[in-house]
Amino acid sequence: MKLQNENIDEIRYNEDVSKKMVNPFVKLIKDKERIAEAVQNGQPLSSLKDIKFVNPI
Amino acid sequence: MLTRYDTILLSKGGGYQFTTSDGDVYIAYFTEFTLIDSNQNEILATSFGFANKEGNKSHRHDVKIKNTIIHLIMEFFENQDDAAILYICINNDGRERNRHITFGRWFNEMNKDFERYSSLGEHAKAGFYSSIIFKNTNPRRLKLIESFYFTIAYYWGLGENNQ
Repeated sequence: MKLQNENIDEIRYNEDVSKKMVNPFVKLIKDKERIAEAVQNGQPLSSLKDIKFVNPI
Repeated sequence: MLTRYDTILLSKGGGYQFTTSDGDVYIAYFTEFTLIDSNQNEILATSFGFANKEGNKSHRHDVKIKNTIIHLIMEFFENQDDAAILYICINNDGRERNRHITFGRWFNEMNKDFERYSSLGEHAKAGFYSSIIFKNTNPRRLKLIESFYFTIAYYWGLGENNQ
């Protein structure tokens, strides 16, 4: 598999990874929708309890 | 010096706020994002996004918005050589491809010390657009590339046969 902009020829896909983990992309999509709704309603993002916001160091 | 809007760091991790000359209020934010690699290791990254208080209404083209977003991303990387920012364009209005292209164009205007890797064409056909960016000196560079593509392939079932 060739990656964009990178001469890497192989990525191994290990089926042993636990499928019990939440799909992080699906969670991010849902988080973005909740954040957009909160912003439109003037609700502080810190009130969205299960989203871990980070600030630059 | 690029012109941009002043940003306010909101308290309690509430992101950054800026207001355009048209009075539109934007909130930009960073959240934790965990990739996985083929050895089941969790690879910590950060997602970036921004939202407008007016939602998806059409806005006048304003180069200062772009400059402000780029400034926030550059500032994020300032003291974090091993950090990575992931962003995703959600398909809630049919314009996700346009946003992905726009963000790619913005990235190209950042300085050349950064690299960007994007989800592939077959992902786009499924309506999925995502990229990850980091400094080209990032010590985790190869791990980030591998885990970004592995995580997409693993959870979306795309990319495994792309050899």
